[in-house]
Amino acid sequence: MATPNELTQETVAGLAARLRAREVSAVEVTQAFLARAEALEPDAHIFITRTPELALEAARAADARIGSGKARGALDGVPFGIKDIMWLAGVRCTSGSEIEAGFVPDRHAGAVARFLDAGAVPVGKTNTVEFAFDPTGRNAHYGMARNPWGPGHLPGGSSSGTGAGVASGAMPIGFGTDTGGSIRIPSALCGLTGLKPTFGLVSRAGVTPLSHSLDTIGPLARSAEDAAIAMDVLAGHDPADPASRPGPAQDFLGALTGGVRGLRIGVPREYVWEVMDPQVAAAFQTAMEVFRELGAEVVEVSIPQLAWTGPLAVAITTAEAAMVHGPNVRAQGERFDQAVRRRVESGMFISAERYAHAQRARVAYTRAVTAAFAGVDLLATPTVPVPSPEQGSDTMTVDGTAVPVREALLRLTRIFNISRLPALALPAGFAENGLPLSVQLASPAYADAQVLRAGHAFQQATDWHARRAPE
Amino acid sequence: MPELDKDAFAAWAGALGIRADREHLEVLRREVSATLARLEPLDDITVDDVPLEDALDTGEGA
Repeated sequence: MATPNELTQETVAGLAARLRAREVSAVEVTQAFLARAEALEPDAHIFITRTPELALEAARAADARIGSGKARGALDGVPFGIKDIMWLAGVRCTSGSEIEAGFVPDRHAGAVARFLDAGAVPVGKTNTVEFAFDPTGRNAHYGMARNPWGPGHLPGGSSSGTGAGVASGAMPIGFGTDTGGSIRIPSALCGLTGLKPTFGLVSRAGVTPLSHSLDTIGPLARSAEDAAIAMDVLAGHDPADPASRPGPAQDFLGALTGGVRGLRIGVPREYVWEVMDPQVAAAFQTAMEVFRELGAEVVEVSIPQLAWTGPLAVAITTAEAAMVHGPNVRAQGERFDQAVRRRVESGMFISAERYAHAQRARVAYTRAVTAAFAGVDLLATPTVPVPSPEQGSDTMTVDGTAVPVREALLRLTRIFNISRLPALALPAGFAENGLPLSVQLASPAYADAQVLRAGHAFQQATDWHARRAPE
Repeated sequence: MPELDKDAFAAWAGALGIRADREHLEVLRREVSATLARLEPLDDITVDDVPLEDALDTGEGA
């Protein structure tokens, strides 16, 4: 019989196996995670709203199904967290904002509905940067989620509560959203596996928008296998999301076993290495060596257009954020986190002509990144060029150069938001101070299963993903 | 790009509907100046082969 502590350290796949074997009930699993969350809060700031009653009700229903041989799959009876910009019917959705603190949706977000239909157990709405508009994890209203690997260091954002929650044992898996890196950055800083799927693959219905051209939904998990379990449920068309384009069917879990022998992995020559902590660079090289030992070929590729990454992301994201949040900022700007307010206001100063030009350049950029796949199956970069920065500073020193923290965090993940390609953050070691390091793998559009397969192969050969944060 | 003139910026912000105290406007002015300067390299990107309709539809590129 597993102890509650063992249960809260388990993967989704491990919990599913225990549930199927009737070694433990869904109610016992849920109680273990709820107790863990209770012990962590209120100091950890993982949750904005906890939902223990809903969780236990869902767990009891899962136990009834499992007991009658009608289990719905690997997620049945497994707890999960929901970033608080995604709707869970009947539960307030603050979007990390004071302004939205009283908003209670009457239906579920499309992605949340799919998890609930699969029998997953909602343990709460997780902390987020206000309107998901910052990569650090700061929230002026609800506090900053605590990174269990390094209290005093950033958890990463904007999906900060899910990242900190999965890493701390408050949930085994959870939802994030990713416009510039908001799934992969907290995954990297909290030692998790996080997938930003191909744009359009997962429904965004019932999710507070930030930048409609770039927003994506995906899982933060403890392994590539768990992310594949999630994607088998999440991928698919939703008529309620105008950008929904599921593409060809993918068997995420079934594709995991293929390995990487014979695959070619491209490492961009330009841009990526201009801001880079030597520890991150060393961990990346070690990871590439693992892939070589597994039978992949690692080659250099040239994508000069990566130099456009920052300006393109800023032009599109800030302009579109102003389209969404401008009216609220004008009417009640003093109620915003003032840094978020200024970011939204900045978008109002971008002309329609410049925005349209940036969108055309985004397509040209996407063509260039896609063209790089003519000779390789995957692209690889570090996920974030630095270990988690300390809280409280807007700039940091990277290999002797002062760099804004936000720019350091965003510069590599944004590549695959602008190009709309699937990208996976994978734990890949630790810095001297014990903070996690991460590599990022990307595939062509709708080859999400391939990127998960490569991630799984890496995790079969390494144990970085299996390390748990200190108590 | 030169930093935006304070009075001109205040007028521009007002035209956009931004109502804020002088301190907020000053921080915003510096931030907007930096943002617009950062976007200047976009002007050098040739996009003649990308129809506007394709770029503003959420289909291409995915």
